[in-house]
Amino acid sequence: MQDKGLSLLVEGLLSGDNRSLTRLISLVEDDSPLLPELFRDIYPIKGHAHTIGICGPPGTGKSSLIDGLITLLRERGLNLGVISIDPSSPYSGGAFLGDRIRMQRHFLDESVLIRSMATRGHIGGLSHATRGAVRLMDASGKDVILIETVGVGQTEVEIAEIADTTILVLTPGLGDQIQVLKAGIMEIGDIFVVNKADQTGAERLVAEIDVMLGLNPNHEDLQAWIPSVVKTEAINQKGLEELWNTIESHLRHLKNNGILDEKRKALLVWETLELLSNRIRNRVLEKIMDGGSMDDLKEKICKMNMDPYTVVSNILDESGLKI
Amino acid sequence: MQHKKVRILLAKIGLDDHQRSLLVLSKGFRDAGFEVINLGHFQTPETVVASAIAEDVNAIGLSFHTLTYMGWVVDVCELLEKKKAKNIAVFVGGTVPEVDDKELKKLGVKGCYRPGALMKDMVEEIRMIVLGVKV
Repeated sequence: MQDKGLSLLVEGLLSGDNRSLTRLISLVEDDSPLLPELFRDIYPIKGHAHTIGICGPPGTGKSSLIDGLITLLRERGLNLGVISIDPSSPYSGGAFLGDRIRMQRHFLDESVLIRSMATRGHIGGLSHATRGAVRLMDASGKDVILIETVGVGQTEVEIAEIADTTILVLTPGLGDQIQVLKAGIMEIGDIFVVNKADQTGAERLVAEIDVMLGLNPNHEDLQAWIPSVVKTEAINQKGLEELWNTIESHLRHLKNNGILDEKRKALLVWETLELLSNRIRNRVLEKIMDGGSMDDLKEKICKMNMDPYTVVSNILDESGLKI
Repeated sequence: MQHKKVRILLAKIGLDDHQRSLLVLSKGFRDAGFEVINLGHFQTPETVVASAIAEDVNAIGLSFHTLTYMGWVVDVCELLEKKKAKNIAVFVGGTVPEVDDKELKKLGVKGCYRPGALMKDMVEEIRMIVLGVKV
C-alpha cells in the first residue's frame, strides 16, 4: 500500500477501530482517489457480517425498530454497524440526517457504530457509497450490519441487491398500503414487519399481507423461502426476539441452499457494472465539457434550441467521441 | 483528508428544553447544502463528542439558551482534545454574551452566533472555516 495515511487507517479498520472505519467510509462518500488502492487491499478480506436491509414508507418506525434490535443484539454480545440513509435535497445538495436521534441509548456504546449517510443524488434508495461502507464494516469484524433506507418505492429495490435479508416495515392505518405499493417493493421483502401492532388495523394488515404472499407461486418450490409476517411494537421492545429468530432462520436458509454465494457473486457483478457505468459517464461528460462547467454545457444545450436527439448527436460529433 | 461537504452535528447540552433553534438551524443548514445530524436536546459532552467522532463530522454546532454554557463548552473542547479530534470545528450560538468571546476563542471555538445573526452569514462563515472554500 502506497499511501501512509491510508495504511494507518486500514490497520485501524482491521483491528476493529470504529474511528478508522468511519473515516474510510467518508473517503468512499467523497469519491477519494485512494479508493482503488483501498479496495484492492480490503476486497480479499472476508468478514462474517450478516447484512440486513430495512425499508418501508416514512413514519413506520424503522429507526425505532433498529434501536430495539440493537439493544437485543448487544445483549447477545454482537458487534454492530448501522448505516442510516436519508435523502439529499436535489436543490441544495444538503440533507437532514434524522435517524441517529432515535437511537440515543447507544451513543456511548463502542461496539455499535451508527453512521448516517445522505443519498447525494444517487437514485435507488441508497447512497452510492453504501456498498463500500458495508464492505468496510464487514472487514472490520462487525457481526451484523443494519441498513436503513429511504422510504419505499419502485427504486428502493437496490437494498435487496446489497442486503442478505431484506425487511419491509409497514404499519396499520397508512391507507390501502398493499394496493398502493407497486410491484417491485413487495417482491423484495424476505420478512414483512407490521410495526405499531398495538394500533387498530394491525390484524387486518397482517391478513392482507398473508393473502398477497399466498399468491406467491413459490409455494410449489420446496427450496424457496416463503416470506413471513412478524408483528412488533418497537418502542415497547415487543416482537423483536421473534423478528430476530426469523432473520436468523432466513440466513440459515440462504447458507444451506447455496443462495448466499450466488447473491454475493451477483452483487459483485452489479457493483462492478455500476462503477463502470459511473466512470464512463463521468469521463464522457468531462470530454464533452472540455474544461468548461456544467452550467456552460447547459447554456449550450439551450442555445442550440433543437430536439434532444439532435442536440446529443451534435455534442458527441463536436467532442470527437464515436458513440 | 478533507470532506467535500460540511457535515455538522447539532445539539443542545444540559437541561435546556428549548428545541426550536435546532430545527431552524437544521433547515437553514440543509438548505445551504450541509449534511445535518441533529442530536436534539438533553445531550451531554460525552454523547456529543462520541457522536461527532462516529459520524466523522467536520463541525459541531452547540446551541444554548441558558447561562451555564461555559462549563459545557469547556467540557466538549477538552473531550475533543483528549480524543484527538481537534480537527472538528466547534461553533456556539444562542444567549451567549459578547463578554465571553475571548474565552471561547481561547478554548478553540471557531465562531459564536447571537440573536440577530443572519443564517446566510453563519453559513458562509462556517463553510469557509470548515472547507476553506468560498461559494
